[in-house]
Amino acid sequence: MLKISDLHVRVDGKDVLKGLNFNVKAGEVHAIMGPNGSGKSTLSKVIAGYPGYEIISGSIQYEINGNYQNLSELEPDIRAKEGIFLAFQYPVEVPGVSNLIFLRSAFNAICKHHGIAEMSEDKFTKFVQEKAKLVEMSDEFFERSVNEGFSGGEKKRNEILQMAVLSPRLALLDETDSGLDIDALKIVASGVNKMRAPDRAVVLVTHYQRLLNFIVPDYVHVLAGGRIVRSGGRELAIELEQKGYNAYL
Amino acid sequence: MLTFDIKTKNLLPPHVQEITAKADFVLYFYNGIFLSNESKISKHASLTVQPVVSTPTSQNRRGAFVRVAKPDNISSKIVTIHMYDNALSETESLALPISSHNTYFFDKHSRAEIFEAHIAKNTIECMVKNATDFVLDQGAQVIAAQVILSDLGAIVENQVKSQQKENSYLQLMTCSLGGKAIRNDISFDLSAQGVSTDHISLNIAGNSSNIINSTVINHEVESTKSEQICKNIVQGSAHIVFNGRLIIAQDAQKSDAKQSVQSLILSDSASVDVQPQLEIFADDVKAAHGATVGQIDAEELFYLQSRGISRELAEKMISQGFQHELMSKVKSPFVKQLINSCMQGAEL
Repeated sequence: MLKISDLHVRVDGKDVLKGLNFNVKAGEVHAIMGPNGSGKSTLSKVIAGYPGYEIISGSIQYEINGNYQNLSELEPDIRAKEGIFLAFQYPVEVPGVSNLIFLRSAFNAICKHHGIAEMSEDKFTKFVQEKAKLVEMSDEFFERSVNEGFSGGEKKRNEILQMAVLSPRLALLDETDSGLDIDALKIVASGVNKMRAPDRAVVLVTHYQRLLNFIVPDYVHVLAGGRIVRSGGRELAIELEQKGYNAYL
Repeated sequence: MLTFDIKTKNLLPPHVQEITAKADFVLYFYNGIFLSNESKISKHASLTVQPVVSTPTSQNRRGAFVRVAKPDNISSKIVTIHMYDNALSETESLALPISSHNTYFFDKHSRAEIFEAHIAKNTIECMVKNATDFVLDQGAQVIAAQVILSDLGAIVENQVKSQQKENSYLQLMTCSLGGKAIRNDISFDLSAQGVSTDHISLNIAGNSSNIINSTVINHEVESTKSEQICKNIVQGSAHIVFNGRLIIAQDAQKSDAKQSVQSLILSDSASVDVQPQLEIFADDVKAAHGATVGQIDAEELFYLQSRGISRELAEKMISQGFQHELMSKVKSPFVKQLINSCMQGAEL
């Protein structure tokens, strides 16, 4: 579904990703771990199309309708419409835009792109209420402005709610565990686990092994110095937890 | 007799007529002419509402005369709508400005919700001059909005004045949308103790529109309170000016005044000039002011786009979000609904 080859990305004049290779197939859950500043967040943001991240060389290929397409040619909203979802490390506050209107605008934009009829307002509200149960969010969040005045945990839950509503094919979770207490972590993890499906891939970007106790990945990768330097299974995360990242610096 | 059909003229924004059905009084004017058939004037014990039409002395001063008398538990809902286009140009010279004057008196402890709109559509070199006065007696509570919705053919000169007696409260939202040029001169006199005034100003200019706001809030006596919040949204090659004078006279001790002006610039060739001007002569007062100018936040834009929302729609949503704070301050749902429907009718 996703093929990244020899990717070099420059951010603010600094080379952050330096020849990264990474492949994801449908149904897989990958964890990307690594020390601070290794390029983990850059990787997930460049896949989603964050402006200002300059791809110097290499490519990000993503499968759309059976054909691989170069993602750098697509606007961020088109990538989302084609099923890419980034759960932000720091979800953005959008003052004055209600959460429900935001979700509905996004949902309808995606439906329209695929030639599917938009959902009526009432039907959509019921649909969101159902999804909100996954992350234990109450209706009062719907009318509030997007992420405004939300606690750290509420913001992260809101990200998972959006993911559940938009039902992506490729979900990128950027440090979704950061700033969460253990209860919130369990809620978020269970929301993600319920979304695991054969046609959906999940990429977890995280510092800590802790999240992986709740969302068990198929593959674990170590990202250091802008490249994936080691890949393995679940046991690699446990090894990292014990030994740290020093070996890769 | 002027034959006129509001629906076929298509000058009103969507839903305005349905919403005004809830009003106690509705006065319609078309190019300065009172439309008696379209208007709604009923006998009401505590209200005087009448159109002022071409009397010899007010030839060029047509508009609404409203007097809300008696304290009433129910707040009166009064709507005045002026529509302008160029339909009369063949028979009557529109080179002269079309003038209107609306006067609203509120007797002691009366309550009212006022909506006034000036809608200029399909105009070519149209000039509109309006003056609106709000006069509030002791303890009157008034929520009012004045919307100017104009196309690029019209120049609108608008003057608004308020006078308030003890312990009265006026909330006025002025909303200027579009126009070749709209000039608002707005002044609030806080000349009696306990007077409180809120001014909400929303200005949206696109294309080559120009909107100029010159406001004066004058605290003349002690224990008066004002809050002014202004938001400007400018796009295309439009230009918005906001000069906000806030005067606290030497005798106006214990006054409380807040002013905030925020501008959102959506294109490279659009611009704003904002000039807050505080003149404080008393020493025991609270006065706060702030002004910001910014563009659409790139992080907010990316966030919405990353959810599948197109850049164009995302920008629109963010700019509507920017206005939302103002709309949420309007204390009358009736007035708010009418403002919203005028905004939908704005082609900016």
